[in-house]
Amino acid sequence: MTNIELNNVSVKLGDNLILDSVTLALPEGQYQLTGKNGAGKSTFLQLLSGLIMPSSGSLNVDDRPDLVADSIQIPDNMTITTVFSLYDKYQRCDTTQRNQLVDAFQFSDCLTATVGKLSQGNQQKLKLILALSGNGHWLLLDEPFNGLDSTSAATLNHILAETNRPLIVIDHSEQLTNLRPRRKLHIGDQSIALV
Amino acid sequence: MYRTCEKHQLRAFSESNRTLIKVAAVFTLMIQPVLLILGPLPGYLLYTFNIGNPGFWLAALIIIGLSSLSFIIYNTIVKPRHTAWVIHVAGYRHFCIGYCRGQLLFAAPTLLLLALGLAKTESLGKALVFMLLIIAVHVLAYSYAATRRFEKLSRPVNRHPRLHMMLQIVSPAGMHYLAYLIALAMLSLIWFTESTLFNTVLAGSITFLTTTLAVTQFKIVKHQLTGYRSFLWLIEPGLVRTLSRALILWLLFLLTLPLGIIAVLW
Repeated sequence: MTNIELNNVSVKLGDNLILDSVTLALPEGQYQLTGKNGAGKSTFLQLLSGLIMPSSGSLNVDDRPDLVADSIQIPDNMTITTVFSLYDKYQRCDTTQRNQLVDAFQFSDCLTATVGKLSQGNQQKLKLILALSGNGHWLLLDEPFNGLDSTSAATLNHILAETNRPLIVIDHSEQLTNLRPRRKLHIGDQSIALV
Repeated sequence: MYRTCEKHQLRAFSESNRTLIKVAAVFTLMIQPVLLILGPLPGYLLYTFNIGNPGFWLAALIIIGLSSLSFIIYNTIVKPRHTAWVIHVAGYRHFCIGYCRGQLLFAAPTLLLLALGLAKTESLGKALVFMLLIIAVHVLAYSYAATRRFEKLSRPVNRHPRLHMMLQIVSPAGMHYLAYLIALAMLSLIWFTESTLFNTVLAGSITFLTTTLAVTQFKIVKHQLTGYRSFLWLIEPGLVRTLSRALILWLLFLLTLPLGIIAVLW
């Protein structure tokens, strides 16, 4: 089983202490991460994906996760085809699955566009397609429903219900309906705990 | 992957700053003779003089200045906003190597001048070792800068917003006045010739170039202050007009100052 292990991990952003000496072992599963605004939910996902280093302690994530987050910004003048080819080169993505996701999210019309020309919703779809077809083990989703229309939101719910990948999702919009079995991780007061 | 991102950012910069790139190209062409004659000098002084010699330190200052300039220009064009994506897809090591490579390419003119200086020394072996040492120092500095870029992903807080705003206004002006300094140096050629035609063409070229630079710098500042304009509009739309008038006055000041200097020299 691929676990996530935090051993006495502290994370500080500027003057803000987000996590203070947290020790946690997460077995494979599907988790919903909850907490107040500013508690550090997005920071926690960035920590797990390796974009942020802990200020102290050790973090062990057995395999590189796939991440959907606002902090991931793709150059505006890059074409979708170039983005896909970069992922193919560095991630060895499942192109068959990616093509299925492109159809499922009705993204085919956007393939010839540049990233900057996409609407916010279509940019979110692009990030979802890349993450869902990635070769990482864990799936980290930060507000995945942002900007999605109702059809795409329903598609995402269906995909997440069918997937066997372990995942952690932040969803304030409460559009996520089909996590199974749903376990909750709560972050607050510089700590994280399974609820 | 980093190179692809870098290429796209360079392309975006050149497409939105075509005039500035043309001006920079013309400037570079015009100072070619000066560069070819004086360019190898800092390297030569570094290789041949001792540490106690003022010429050594002058040369070191020039090299540090040129390296810093290329460093700042690279960081201005290739922004860190895509760092998270590159690291997420291709890894931190890939990002670090790509960043160092990109910075070294931008420092190539400086390193080339050092290499030209090396060619003029008598003790080639010692000079070569010295040059390799300088390149190694550059690589170390760029590696540190790459680490800082990565660390900034986890430190998005702007601790000094007013200082940041002042730097956004002052930095383009700083580059701008550096161009004026070069223009003044070129204008000094007027003292070496009595040809009215040459002097007229030279003064006209300098005026055109500095005016274009002033306008470009105005556009850069206006773009950088777009966020602040939106914020001011939320408070009171009239404040946006005030900011626009302040920017226009700033442009007029930038335009009249060099024209005044040119008139005095003329």
